[in-house]
Amino acid sequence: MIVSGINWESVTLVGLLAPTIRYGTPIAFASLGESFSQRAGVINIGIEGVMLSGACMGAVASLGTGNVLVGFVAAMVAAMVVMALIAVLVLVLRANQIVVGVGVNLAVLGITTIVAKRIGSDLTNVNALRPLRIPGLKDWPWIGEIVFRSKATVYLLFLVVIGCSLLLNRTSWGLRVKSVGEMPAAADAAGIVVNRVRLQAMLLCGALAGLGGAALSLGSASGFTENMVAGQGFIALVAVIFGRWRPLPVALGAMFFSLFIAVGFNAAPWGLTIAPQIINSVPYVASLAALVILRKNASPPASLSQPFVRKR
Amino acid sequence: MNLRETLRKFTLSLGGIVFGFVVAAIIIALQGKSISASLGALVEGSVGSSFAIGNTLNKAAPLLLVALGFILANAAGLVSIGGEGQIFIGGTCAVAAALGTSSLPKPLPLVAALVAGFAGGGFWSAIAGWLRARVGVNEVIVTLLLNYIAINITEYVTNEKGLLRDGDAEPQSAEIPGAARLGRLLPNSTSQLHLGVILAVIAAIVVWFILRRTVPGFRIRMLGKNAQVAARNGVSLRTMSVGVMFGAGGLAGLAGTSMLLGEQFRLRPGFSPGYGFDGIAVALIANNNPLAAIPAAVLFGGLRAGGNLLEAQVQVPQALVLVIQGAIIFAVAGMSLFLQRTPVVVGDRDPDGDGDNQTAGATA
Repeated sequence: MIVSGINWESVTLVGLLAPTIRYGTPIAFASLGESFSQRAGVINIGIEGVMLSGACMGAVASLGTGNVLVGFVAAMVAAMVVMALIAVLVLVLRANQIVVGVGVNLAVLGITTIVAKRIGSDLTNVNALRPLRIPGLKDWPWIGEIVFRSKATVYLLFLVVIGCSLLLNRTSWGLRVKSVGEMPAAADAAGIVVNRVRLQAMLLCGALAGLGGAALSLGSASGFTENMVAGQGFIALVAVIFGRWRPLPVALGAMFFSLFIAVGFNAAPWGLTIAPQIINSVPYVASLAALVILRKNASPPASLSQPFVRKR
Repeated sequence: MNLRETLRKFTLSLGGIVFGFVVAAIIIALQGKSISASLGALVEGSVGSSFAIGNTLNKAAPLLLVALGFILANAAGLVSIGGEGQIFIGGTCAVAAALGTSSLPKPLPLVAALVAGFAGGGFWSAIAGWLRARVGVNEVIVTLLLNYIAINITEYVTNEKGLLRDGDAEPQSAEIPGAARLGRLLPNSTSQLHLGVILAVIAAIVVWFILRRTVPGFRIRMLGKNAQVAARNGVSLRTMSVGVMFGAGGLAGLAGTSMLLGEQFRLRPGFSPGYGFDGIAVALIANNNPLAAIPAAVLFGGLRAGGNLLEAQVQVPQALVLVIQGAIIFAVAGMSLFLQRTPVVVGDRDPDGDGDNQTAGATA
């Protein structure tokens, strides 16, 4: 018997959606970043490692200074440095983007594990965000409990989603990003420096993924533990595909996957005896299904993963 | 391939390996540990005794098999990052077959397990091949997704009583019977060296032979080199990708099989420590050459084997090995541009890119 004995009285919308937003926020930041990188034609499998570098550096900086804000800034800077390294490899040296991503994930996991072991248990307990209850709004039925008692990162996410949408669809820079991802040769002929725009998109990806990492170590948790991203970067990668490379659907995709994390988290109190492995698989199966069903509209940017070389 | 080109490729890989160790030395020095003592521990843990050598080669075998899978798919222009998932499905099928046939006479349980391991990994990978050929979904993304589903499947079957779980103590399968194990090659020595190593080397020779000396291999390489020319000759991903991905996944499935039937003897959740990704690095260092993958796999196996002693003897975290691997990948992947006369891109592009396409000059 896979499903049995649900205690329906304990199942509430708030109990489901509050953790969905909590777990989904770091993933959503990273997936928004990844969608810029991919829109510009660079697939970043290393997003897992980039997030991890942010999570680790954020906690280290918060431990060192006692200031959470410094932690967030440090996380974004560290992740952007990692992205700059990736950019040198894939843009200048035209290295295989998949292979470089695999290398990033290995190297960052190695370095952050060494750092975590070196610093020890202090790093698992640093100054982190406290819930920011919005006066007035926090007492609204349903929505107050789900949204307005969250950490600051959740409110920031709403702003970032809007910002990303505007940036991609309403600015000339967004148009340049799309053009270098779809038709780099045409963009080049129109006077756009393809690799410069790609670098900018990748650095933005780094900043957002670093923010996602810090949202984990300084938002969801209060410190860094080894390999704490644990596949969430890959979920972000999938959310980008699920949301078909557009900011709002991508962020919603991240939340959709987070919903299943929340179900898994709640399974025991609800009396849901479904095997956790089945719940854990749902996001991946759903993504596969989405890829197949939405294939007509789900085509990735045309030049994804191809280095740009100017024709003579 | 002429001698000069071979030499250049060899120099590149060697340079990458040296770079990896230089990065490691810097990290060790930053931690205030002795570089020579750390290197000593790595060497002792990987080749310092017959036990260590056996350990290195046993770890090299699955890495080689995964790398061969990547190389095979890559020869056809497909990029599979699903080795990890194929290890899990292949290993799970192999254990199920080994336990299910344990009452049969001697070689049959082993044969059944190897066939099941190959078929399981192959099937898992062929899903991606089929979706690529028939539905047009990118195989990189599909193989990545399938990894996570596979890991969960293995965890599920080792957790469920009716399936492969044995007893209440921990989620794990029953022990694989002796008749289904990959036997030890040196039973009277401390070395745990097992038959999986021979299997992997044979697989490398077979993959090399198929790609270089047979008609299907020629078709695969033609497809990978120039899809348009291949199409004009009646060779396309539509007809090839399921078969190629099946073979590639089967090799990775054998990697999982070798780990379980040669060393671990019980199926446990999360039994592969990321070998599916390490294997991609092995293929990279070997420049996608099946035979060159043998020494590359031994190097990475040695790093994994030596890493244990690194932590025990000189208190340098084993994770250093991951950094070395990452640094080698960066160096080799980054420098491979200088090996090529033609850039890596497909289609009608500038044949001798000057290595710098960031310069202005054509601005409107």
